[in-house]
Amino acid sequence: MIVDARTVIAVFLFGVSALVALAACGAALRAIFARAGRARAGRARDGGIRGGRARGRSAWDAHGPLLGLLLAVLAALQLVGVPLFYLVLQGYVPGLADRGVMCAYGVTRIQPELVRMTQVLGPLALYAAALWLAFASAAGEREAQGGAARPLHLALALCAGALGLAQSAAALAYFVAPKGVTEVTCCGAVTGAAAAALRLDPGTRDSNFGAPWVFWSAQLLLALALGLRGRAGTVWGVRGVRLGKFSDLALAALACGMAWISYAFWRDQLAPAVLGLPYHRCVYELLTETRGLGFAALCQAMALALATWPLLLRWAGDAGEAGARAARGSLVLALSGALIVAVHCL
Amino acid sequence: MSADTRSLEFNSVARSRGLFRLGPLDLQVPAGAWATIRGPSGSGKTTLLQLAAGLERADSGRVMLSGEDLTDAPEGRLAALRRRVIGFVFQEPRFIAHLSVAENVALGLVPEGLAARERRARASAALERLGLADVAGRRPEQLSGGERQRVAIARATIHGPRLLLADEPTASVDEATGALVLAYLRELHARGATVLVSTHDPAASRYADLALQIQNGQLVP
Amino acid sequence: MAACGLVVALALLLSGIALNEGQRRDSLAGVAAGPAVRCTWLSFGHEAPLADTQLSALAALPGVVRCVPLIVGRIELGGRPIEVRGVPWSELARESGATRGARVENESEVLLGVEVARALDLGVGSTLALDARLLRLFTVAGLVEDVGTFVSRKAVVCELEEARAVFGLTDAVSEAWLFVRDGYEAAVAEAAERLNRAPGAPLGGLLAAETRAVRARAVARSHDLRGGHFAALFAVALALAVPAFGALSYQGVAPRRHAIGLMKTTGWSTADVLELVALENLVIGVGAAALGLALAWCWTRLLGAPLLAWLFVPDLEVFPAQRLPARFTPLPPVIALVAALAVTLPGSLWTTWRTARAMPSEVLH
Repeated sequence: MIVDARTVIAVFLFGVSALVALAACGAALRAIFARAGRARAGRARDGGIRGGRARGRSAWDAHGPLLGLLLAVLAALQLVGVPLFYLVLQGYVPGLADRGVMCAYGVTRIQPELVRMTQVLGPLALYAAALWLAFASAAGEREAQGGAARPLHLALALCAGALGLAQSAAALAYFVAPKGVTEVTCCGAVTGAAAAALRLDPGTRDSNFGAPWVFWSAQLLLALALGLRGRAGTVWGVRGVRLGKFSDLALAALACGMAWISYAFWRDQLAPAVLGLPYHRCVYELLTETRGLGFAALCQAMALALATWPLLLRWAGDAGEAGARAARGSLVLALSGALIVAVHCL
Repeated sequence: MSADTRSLEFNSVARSRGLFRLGPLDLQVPAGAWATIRGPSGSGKTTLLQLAAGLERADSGRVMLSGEDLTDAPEGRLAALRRRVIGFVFQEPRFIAHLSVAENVALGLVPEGLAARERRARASAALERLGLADVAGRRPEQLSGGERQRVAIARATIHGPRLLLADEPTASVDEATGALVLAYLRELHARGATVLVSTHDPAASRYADLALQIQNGQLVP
Repeated sequence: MAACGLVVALALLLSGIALNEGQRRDSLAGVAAGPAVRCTWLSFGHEAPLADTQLSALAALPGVVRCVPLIVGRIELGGRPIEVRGVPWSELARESGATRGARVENESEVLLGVEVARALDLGVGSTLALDARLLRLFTVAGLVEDVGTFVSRKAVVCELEEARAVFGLTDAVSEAWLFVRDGYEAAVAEAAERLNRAPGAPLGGLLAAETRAVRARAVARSHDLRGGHFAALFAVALALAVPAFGALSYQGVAPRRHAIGLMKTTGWSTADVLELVALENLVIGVGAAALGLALAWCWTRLLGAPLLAWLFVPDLEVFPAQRLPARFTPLPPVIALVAALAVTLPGSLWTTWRTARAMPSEVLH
């Protein structure tokens, strides 16, 4: 185990995060069992509408706000954990230099499974927790109108808690695991020998997905789509234009496609251009050398995640306003990230 | 009478608190009515009003607001009703000390998501209707007893409630202020609100469509 | 009160981390600016003088661009041990480390690191006496403020032959620095150590070759360990701060329950109250992080980190006269936010929940 200040603080953070995630899982399970118990009691009593409403009231009133509080805290801790984990990886570089490690990417090739779990489960937990909060806000509005909360909310809360717990466990295991055993080769062999040979050949074409015109066109399309969605029932004052669920599906599909295009662009175009090394395609190194791009990456990732919310919120029963708010938030983040990237491209 | 005027109905409602037990009692307040409740201290007037406002939940029976069952309604629904439909005036006016009078009056508008400017404007209008336009920026402890009760009424009526519940609104004020308060409540009633007032004031009972008596937690015929 | 305690604790933690990061960066920069391979002579496992006769063999190794002999020793100056480096004249002339004053123009002049200058209260033009085997007087030509290949903020740099005279070494140096072509670092180190087995190799010791990567690892590890131990003490304190924060904020609950009960009578739901209280705690956390960072910056950059700096530099006074290098980006802001939020948000969970659940009827009777 490498003991440095970053690792110690990260252990503290992920330890606390694990406890909060565990509490969230416990609260979600308690709510699920309570709801099921009341459902059984309600059916046994043949309470009819009154029994149904009693179930809705008791479960949500008792557990909904507490779950929201726990998941909000979990989301905040996960969010600050992302840059900290990256700094931990970066901090390990000099100490692992004799193992062939030259950058943060090289560090990720030691104990890669644990690193991958930490890097994937964390954002997923953050996504699930933030989505639950959006669902809860929409449910609260429905509740104010007389509707009831949906049972799938409790399942989503349990999922978010479980993901947070798994991620914290993976991170803690990574910090404790020995790192001095593996040797890594130069990161020029990132994708394997054959691919590396291809990249070293100037005659090889890069993936079309990463071309600048594709990236910027997709960014423009996404911004337009988000702007439209953000207007909910109107399009710049033209009333009567309604955007149905297929538009939300198209927006989500566009966001997923944009994720792939963005990654290809950052790796194949932005990294070599900013780092000044034509064959150096490493997003980690890019984030190390240019800190503004780290913020841009965070903005763009959050924008794409938020762009999938209108579809999920509509599925959860939202009439359109919550989805419109998500689209507006996504637009702001996407434009912020795109602006920073554009500045670095100039 | 406007279309959204609210009726209130108690069906075998009972509520226990310690040794005191209210009900079971049945009660019907028609939409747009002015109803008064009279009874000795500790007879259950306040509890009845709080059950009607959803501030307490009945142990048994149903409290219906224009056909909507409040007894098992989600907490968020009850809060929304108190924001939009129900106004409650306490016997002793209560405020948040570190907020100004205007901020106290506009307290119920915050969860509605209104902008600060809009909230201030509506608070000022509500205070002006009660002749308190110049106290908006003061702290509640700087007001007299009569002014405090009028501010509490402004807070309870800022959203134009269709059901107004007042717990002895003139008990802690002088005669002149009491007359002012009752006149304002009558004005709201004239605009279509259903009013339920617990009071010892004969002036309030004079205008009652429905006069109720409560004793030891039971309505007396 | 809880927030104030958190701010002070954060300020101390961030000051220490910034100092450690600054020193780590400087040390690693020194390693990066230094040679690819550092060769010394080991006698019974300890460093001993390296004979001049071995220098030509080292210079002839494949991949070596140049071999620079150096004398690096310590002399007591002003009651404290100070590093003295003897560097060949040709290299001194090539040195471009940022200096205040002039470059060295003759053998009677030296370059002084700024930290040494502050400690000994010397400046450009001062006279310095180096007394080991022989006493020699020098004039300070310039002050070294930045990292260079042969110069250092913590050392006195003079000409190699003068250093020989001071330390009494006539035909030996303390080490040889090898500058190699890119990618030849490991190969040259291995070849240097193979010289020990070559025919005619000198007896009485072993040639040891240390690559830049190994030095970087050693430097990084020493700083990491120190920083880790420092942070670990605070991590224990932060872990205890979580329930303490909860307990202290619970004391503020009672007056708020009345206000919250009143808010609920006007139409606030439990979720609305939770949102308000949670946002307040978030603002407290972020504010504590920002204040802690600002306080740490002032403590370190303006006051020299009294009560703390001596933990990171041996023999330093509790209230130091000199400013140590400190680095406030990127780690300290991230740690400030992490630590503050990890204490305030979980610590206030129970209090927030209890506060928000206050029923109007319970509170207003």
